Amino acid sequence: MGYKITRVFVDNHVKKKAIVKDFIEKSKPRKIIFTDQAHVKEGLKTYPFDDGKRSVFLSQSKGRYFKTCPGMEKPYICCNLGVLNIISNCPMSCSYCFLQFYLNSPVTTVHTDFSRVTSELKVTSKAHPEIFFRVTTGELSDSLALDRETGFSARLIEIFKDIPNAILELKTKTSFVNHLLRLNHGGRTVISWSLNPQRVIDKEEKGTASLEKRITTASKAQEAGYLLGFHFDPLIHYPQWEKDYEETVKLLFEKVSPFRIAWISLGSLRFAPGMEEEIKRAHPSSKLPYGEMVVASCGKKRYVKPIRLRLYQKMIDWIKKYGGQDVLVYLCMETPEAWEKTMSFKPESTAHLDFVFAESLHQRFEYLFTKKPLLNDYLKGMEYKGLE
Amino acid sequence: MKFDLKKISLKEINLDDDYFRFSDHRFDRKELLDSLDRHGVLFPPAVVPNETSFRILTGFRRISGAKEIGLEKIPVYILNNDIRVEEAFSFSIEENKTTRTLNLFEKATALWRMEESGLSEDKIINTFMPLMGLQSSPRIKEDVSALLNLPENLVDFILFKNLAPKNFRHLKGISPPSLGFFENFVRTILPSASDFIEVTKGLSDLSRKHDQEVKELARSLGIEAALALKEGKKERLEKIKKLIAAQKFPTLTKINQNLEKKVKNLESPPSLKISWDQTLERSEVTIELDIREEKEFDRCLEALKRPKFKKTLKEILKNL
Repeated sequence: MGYKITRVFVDNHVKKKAIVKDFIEKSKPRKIIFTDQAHVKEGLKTYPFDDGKRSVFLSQSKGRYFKTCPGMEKPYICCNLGVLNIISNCPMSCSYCFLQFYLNSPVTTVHTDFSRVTSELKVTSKAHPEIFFRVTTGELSDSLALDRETGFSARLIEIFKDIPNAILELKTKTSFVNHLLRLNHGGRTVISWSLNPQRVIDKEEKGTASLEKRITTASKAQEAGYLLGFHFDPLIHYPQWEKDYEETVKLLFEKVSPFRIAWISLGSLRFAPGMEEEIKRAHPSSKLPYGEMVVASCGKKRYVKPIRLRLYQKMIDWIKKYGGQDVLVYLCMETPEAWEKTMSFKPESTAHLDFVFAESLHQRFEYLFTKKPLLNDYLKGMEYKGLE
Repeated sequence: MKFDLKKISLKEINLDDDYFRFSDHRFDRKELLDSLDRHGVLFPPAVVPNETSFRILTGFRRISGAKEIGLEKIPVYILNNDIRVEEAFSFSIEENKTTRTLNLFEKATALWRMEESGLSEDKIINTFMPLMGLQSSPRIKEDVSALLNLPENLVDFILFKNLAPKNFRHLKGISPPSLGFFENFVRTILPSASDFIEVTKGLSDLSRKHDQEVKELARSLGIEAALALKEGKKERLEKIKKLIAAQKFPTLTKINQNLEKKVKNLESPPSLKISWDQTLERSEVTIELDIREEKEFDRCLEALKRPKFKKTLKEILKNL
């Protein structure tokens, strides 16, 4: 599976890099435009969104690439995932995606200074040997959507194999994993899929792989020894949601062993201010902006609490029913109250949840660790949040 | 740009040619006619010569007013006939700005005229929208342009209440019969701007959610009937808003109604008020005592001590 790139903008500062030449050779765009950053950012403001989806800007950033997920402030609890922002934006077109509103450019930006990305990662993980880092490239993009052109994932898998206190998570909605199956990953890469019932995929996740394909591909990755992750995020509330989501969970565990699942996340649909109006415009057939939502204390619009809790509770029940009791399930960007009401447990803080992850992974996949994780290290280690 | 100031006969001006017209009829005609009658044309309109007559560039209302009061000749600025469309629009907007502010409907008309004349989207958005005091944005252009497809009464209301484009963009794509329902709503209730937005946006959203026409929805939800009630405007408006909210927030409405029922069953004294965040986001109950005499305080205290009170409080908290 690949995405046709029609236009490549190249930042004049990086035009001589081998990675740029390589990207252009593999993507074979109709048009290559050499330009500067400011021009691209300004010139593309009035670009039609879909046109931007087929355009890539090869550039470099002055800021850091390795950060922690911006998450949310108290009372919401986040999982403290590390993010490598090496690609920003994505060629797929999910109606609910925050990227189309969060990023100020309609084109997908691929950062070409890979060596800086890896050095930031190595320096930070070495400076905090007591912390176990979960790191993804799938925060501001789909980790695998442009892998054919960039080859980034294979290179990262190779790097993570030798970092003793980190694990890589490649988040995707594609079925593009064949190029990764024969790699020596050392069990330090989780390939994870965002899952939704096929009915939701058809309506809201344009340009992505089908549910069947995602799960079949996950099973292939599992056979190749990779750990797996799944993200039921965003959970969508609609008339047939219970039947559809239960079938989805059932299908997942028919094809995939729960013992190789590193984690499953649950998150309900949420909109940043103004985003629902943009969805109405950019995706007029989508029903998502008309859900029963209120502005929560985080300032985002979310389903009303009784609906959110019911979505989570049902999903947890089905995951336990079909996948057993030992799968690590977590809530993404939720309140301690939501945790307590649905899981009978609540992390005290983001650092605590980070530790819960490490502890659970240590219990199930001890080979990933050189020492047993300690809660105090994580509570102190919040300072490493200052990755900025 | 070169132009001459001359007096020409009104007969030479083609009044039917509205290629550059974007002024609308919502203005005080009488005031203009009185002024023309007293002083003649103080601000000469601008025209462009073509083969047989003059095309009006600015001053449509002044010229038609002059004709109406029987003037034969008026002063005009005559521009070169090789003027580019872009220059002509620019001149027209600038000239209008010196005498008054264009209303949003006129801006929408100007945008449409520019599009019709073949000006590029980029030019319209980045040059002409700021010139008219609009933000350079395709989205704003789309929103403002929506005014052109609305019935006159709704346009009047929007202009009168000075609504921002984002507050009427939801009326885009609504069928004429449904817009007719909104017209009727405005005529009957004379809502405030915020009530207008709440009701029209609420119904438009529900119509899109259920793939049903606003008019049909208004009928099936009892909104049309509520509008026709003999009660006061305020009461009818509240009923309509409640009907919409119940559809928009079915879960919340059901839970809140249930909790309200429980509170009512407590039969507490009126000076004891129990409330909670109706969005159910905050899990807390507020108990207020509005005490004016000592006796009331005793009554409240007694009510608070009842086991039934504690039990109900627990039940409410469980739902929050």
